[in-house]
Amino acid sequence: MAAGKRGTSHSGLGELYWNRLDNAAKLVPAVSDTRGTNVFRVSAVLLDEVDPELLQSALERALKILPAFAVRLHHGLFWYYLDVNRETPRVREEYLYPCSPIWRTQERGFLFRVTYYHRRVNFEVFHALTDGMGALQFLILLLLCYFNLSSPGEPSSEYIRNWCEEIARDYDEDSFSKHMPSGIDKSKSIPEPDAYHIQGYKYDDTRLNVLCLLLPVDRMLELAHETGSTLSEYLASLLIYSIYESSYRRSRLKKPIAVSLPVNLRQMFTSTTMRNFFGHINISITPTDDMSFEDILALVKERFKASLTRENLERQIAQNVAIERITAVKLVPIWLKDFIMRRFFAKAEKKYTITFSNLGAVKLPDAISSRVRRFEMLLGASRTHPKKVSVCSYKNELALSFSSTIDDNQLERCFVKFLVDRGVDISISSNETPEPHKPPKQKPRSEKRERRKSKTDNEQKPAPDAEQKPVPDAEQKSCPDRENVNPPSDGRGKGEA
Amino acid sequence: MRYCPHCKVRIENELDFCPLCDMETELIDGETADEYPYIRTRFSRRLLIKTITFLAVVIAAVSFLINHLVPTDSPWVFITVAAIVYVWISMMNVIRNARNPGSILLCQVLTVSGLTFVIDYLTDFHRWSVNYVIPFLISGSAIAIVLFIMIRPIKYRAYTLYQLVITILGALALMLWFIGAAEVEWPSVMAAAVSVICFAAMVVFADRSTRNELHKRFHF
Repeated sequence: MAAGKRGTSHSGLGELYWNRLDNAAKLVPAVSDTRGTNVFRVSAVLLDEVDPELLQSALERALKILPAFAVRLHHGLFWYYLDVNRETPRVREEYLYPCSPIWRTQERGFLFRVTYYHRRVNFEVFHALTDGMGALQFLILLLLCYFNLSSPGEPSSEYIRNWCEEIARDYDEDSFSKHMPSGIDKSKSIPEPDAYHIQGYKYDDTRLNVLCLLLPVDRMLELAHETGSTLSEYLASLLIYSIYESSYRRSRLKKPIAVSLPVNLRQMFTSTTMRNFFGHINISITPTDDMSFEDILALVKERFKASLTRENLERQIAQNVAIERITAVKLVPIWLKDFIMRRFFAKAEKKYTITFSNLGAVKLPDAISSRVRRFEMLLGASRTHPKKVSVCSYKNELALSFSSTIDDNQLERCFVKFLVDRGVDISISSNETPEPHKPPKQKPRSEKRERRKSKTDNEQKPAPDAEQKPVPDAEQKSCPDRENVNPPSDGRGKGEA
Repeated sequence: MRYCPHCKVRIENELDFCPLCDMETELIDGETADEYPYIRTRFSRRLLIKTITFLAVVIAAVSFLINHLVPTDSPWVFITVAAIVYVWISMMNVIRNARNPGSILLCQVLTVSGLTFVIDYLTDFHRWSVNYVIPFLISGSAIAIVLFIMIRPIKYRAYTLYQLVITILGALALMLWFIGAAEVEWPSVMAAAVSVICFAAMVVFADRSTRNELHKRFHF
């Protein structure tokens, strides 16, 4: 494969570095838009308030140590590709809804966004760059660098470098291609029926509602083990059960409820890439009338056993890689590829009801493990999938996040009620925030008004000989100060809707 | 920290109403977490594009209306529409590619060429656009890209593709003269020569980067 040149050590990418997108990522730029951003977030809640300047320096350092993330997305005639981005990314206080789109012209060309808010550090990534595990590793690296700067020597720079060498040895490898199994019957797959979809009133803008359940890991494990299942199986069943109870019963269409679970392939195929390397399993159940949770759990356990096999995942890899290796496919111009991929993706999206991503138990290096309170993961929703669920645990805290673009939380309520009834001690945290009574920055009022005025002038007078370029205006798009330009609009959150 | 007696869950944020059931919450002991900021609605790019497009269509429609009500022999309304189309394309280009001067330059070469050609064509077609304006635009932009690169060599690779496209345009300018659309030879020949020389300079002085850039753009 004609991959680009790369530096021999982890000390930045060479000027001429470039690389293809990995197999899974090839789809992502084509199918992303404002409503399906394909952006997800991993965040860490620290014990103390985040120091923005330290975080900025930590980010710059982390990118030097692990340059796989210092890239920009371009499109060629036939494929998208990544090449080196020499800009410096900017750490900002959170100012957008979680998982807001990351476009090529924003974030100085980077495919990620680092924000903070009080004690929380957020790392949001465009899926074309990496998957959940890759993002988590980068977040951990960022935290290592952050704590290294806040209390020098602990962890030491040497330690960070070694840690990074270990987890990201082949940081830009397309592991799909590398682990493409040979001699597998690629054609053999039974077409799945279209799945049930959660309906609801969608919000107008890029709003994403977040509801995070904080659950005690020990109690959850106890519950799962009582029924002889794993935590993943238990939670997936509970999710199906909640969908069934909250909306499915009322719908007349008897389509299956299918939960799509991304599976990290790094362990199974021994890879240390920082690009995407995951597969999917589809847990599909066609509910009958009056199903109990136990019935669903029994079926889910069966499905897990059947689909979570090496052969199944190998076949997935083989199928996907085979497509991109067809010469005729390679020679289709990118805009046509985009169009075709969107069609395929829309079809594939119909096959499942909801995504349930389990990042597993996060383990931090000892040096910093006591300085982080918890980890959370959050997926951006899409048009066909207005709700997505993700879970990760740290120490004894399991953070299960629902993200939603619709004004309906029946599903969440069912889920919570089920656990409360079984005596689980739940805390919830939501991104519903009352509108602050006073705007935080009151001083530069007049300045604000002036800027607003000059901006509207710019827009509304497209002088016929517009040789003058409104570049600065367009560039400001991603600038945080912009939020003040507009008057505060109606509040968010369903309390006010 | 808050507690919802209805859902029987603790709520980390300082919310008077439960985010799950919208019932009133109780204040209980424990630290409140301020986890998410209040998000103000922002002026979106989509709205900007809509506004510009809407204004363009309205101005064009009004022009036709005036032309209908005040008939003249002058083709001013078509020239106005061409100008509106030009402004609209330029603005869309700038909104989408705000950071790439190469893209903006190429867009300007193409749209200004189109605009001048339309004006020329509608005003008795004296061929001043194909004879002089278009060839000069192409030569000028080829030189401009070389200057951009000399000023900021680090941005070199962002321009390679545009230089290539302008070279092709230079060849097309020569074609204009061959097929007889242009009546004056020297500006077309100059455009072709200048753009080829500029591209040759890129290939000679930055051979590795050029090859690398072309490989990236055309890999399959």
